[in-house]
Amino acid sequence: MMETMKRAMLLCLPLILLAACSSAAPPRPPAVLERANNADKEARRALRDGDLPVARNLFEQTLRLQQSLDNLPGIAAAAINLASVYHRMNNDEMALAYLDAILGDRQAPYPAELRAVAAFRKAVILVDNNNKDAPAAVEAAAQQCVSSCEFTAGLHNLRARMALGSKDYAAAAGHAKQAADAAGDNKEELANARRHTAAANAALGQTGPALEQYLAALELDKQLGVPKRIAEDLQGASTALEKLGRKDEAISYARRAAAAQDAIHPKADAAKAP
Amino acid sequence: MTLLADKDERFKGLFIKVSIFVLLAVLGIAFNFMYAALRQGLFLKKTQIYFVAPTSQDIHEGMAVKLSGFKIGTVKEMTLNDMAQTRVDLMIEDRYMHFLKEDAEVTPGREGVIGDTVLALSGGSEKKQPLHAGAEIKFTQGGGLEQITQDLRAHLFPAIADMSKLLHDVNDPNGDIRQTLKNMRELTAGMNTTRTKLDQMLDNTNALVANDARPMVQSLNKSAAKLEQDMPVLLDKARTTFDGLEKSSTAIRSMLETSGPQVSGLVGESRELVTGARKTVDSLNNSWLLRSGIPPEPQGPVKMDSSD
Repeated sequence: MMETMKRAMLLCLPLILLAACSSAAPPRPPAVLERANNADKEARRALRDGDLPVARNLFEQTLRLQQSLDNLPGIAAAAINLASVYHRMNNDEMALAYLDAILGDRQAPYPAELRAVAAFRKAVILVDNNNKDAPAAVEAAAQQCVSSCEFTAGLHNLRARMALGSKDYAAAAGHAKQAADAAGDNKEELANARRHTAAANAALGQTGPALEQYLAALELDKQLGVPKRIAEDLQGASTALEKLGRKDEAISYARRAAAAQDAIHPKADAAKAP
Repeated sequence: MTLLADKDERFKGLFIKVSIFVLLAVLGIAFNFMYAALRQGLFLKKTQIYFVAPTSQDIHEGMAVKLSGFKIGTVKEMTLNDMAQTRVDLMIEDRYMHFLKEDAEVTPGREGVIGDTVLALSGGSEKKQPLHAGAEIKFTQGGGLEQITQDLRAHLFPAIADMSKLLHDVNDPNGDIRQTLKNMRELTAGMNTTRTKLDQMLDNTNALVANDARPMVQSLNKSAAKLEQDMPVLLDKARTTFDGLEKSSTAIRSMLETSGPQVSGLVGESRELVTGARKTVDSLNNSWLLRSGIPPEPQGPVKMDSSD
């Protein structure tokens, strides 16, 4: 019986493949749109590889092509991506200019979710710079972040960072907890929330919980593969261990943090070494 | 008693004759005087006017007063007034007075380059009232010799001062000119040294040509002679090579002519093959069996978190 069923399936397999292949290919997109999509794909690859100048040029090319097509979602997405690249290149003036072009133009019907992304990116940049307008920007982003907004956890983390900056550690711990609760399966924001909680706990003298949070953040950041944050987690854990009197472990974590940091920014001598 | 008997008939009426002669002479002389006075305008009716000049230089009594080049009067009198200025009275013939208005001006001038000095009158504007007797007219210092001299002085003195300064600069040992001359002198001395070195260099060049270049030229001549000797052999070899190349080229051309259409057809078929393959891949990508295995292209903004 089983053998018969297997034979029947083998006979049916070519028919199944034939049916799968017989569906018609979708029509090719217009040439300009195809070029825009290809440029966008190459730009994402360059950004992932850390080749920021190439990513910037390709996103600018994408933006021009999308503008030629009057594709407002494409224009907004390319402008937001350009702002992210410029922020990484420490050119926040250009980054804010691109974001304000989206947020300031109320007449253009940009999609609401892309306006929310732009507002969130602007808030991130202003918080990074300790700008006095950062709280207002965070609240403006929160107003644009409707029920299914994916930035809820990120906004709580931004509030936690601002509270840490103003040395309001209790508030920072509260915002970080809200961020962790809202993160869901967003590992990046969960890791950020753990790190902010750890920093707040450490500042409040709660060294044990701080160490736990740093190690939790380290675990998540290792999964995500973010060297800079891994180094930060290791350094935080080392400090907490030292306060707890576990000096050997503290030294070990400190060495690992230094190694991770050196791997990100190799020193001149280290670069010459074989 | 008469000593001389007046018996000659020719002496009869001599007194009357002499008297007539003398009278005619006197009348002639008087006529001349009268004519001269008439020509001088002695009997013409004249009107007196005056002007005040800062100085009497170039003005004298009897001096002609002219209007548009015609003499219309003379300087009658010159006196020194209370302000230590010269008052000059003019006598203008009445027949010309109607030309002169209240704003008439008088200017010392000269007839020609070396002519007599005269007073030149300008009549004034037509709208003004005619000049009356005893009126004062305005004196204007004209472009006389003194004025020309003063103008010349005004221009000449700065030039002389500049020349003096220039001469001072020239004579100043630390001045620019002396320093420039010194530098030029040193440069000239240096050029002499340079010329000496150039001469030495040319001598060395001559020696070099004589000792080294000439043997080199001789060696080149030998090489050229050898090349000339070997050239026919080389040319024969080259000709053989070119013949071979020509044959090869002919063979390739013949081959291309034979297989050209096949090659172009092959290219066309390859293009069609690639197009077909692309369509096939697109079709496979969109088939339900393989579609799930291919990750969708990311769209929209790149995902960034709150720490990016």
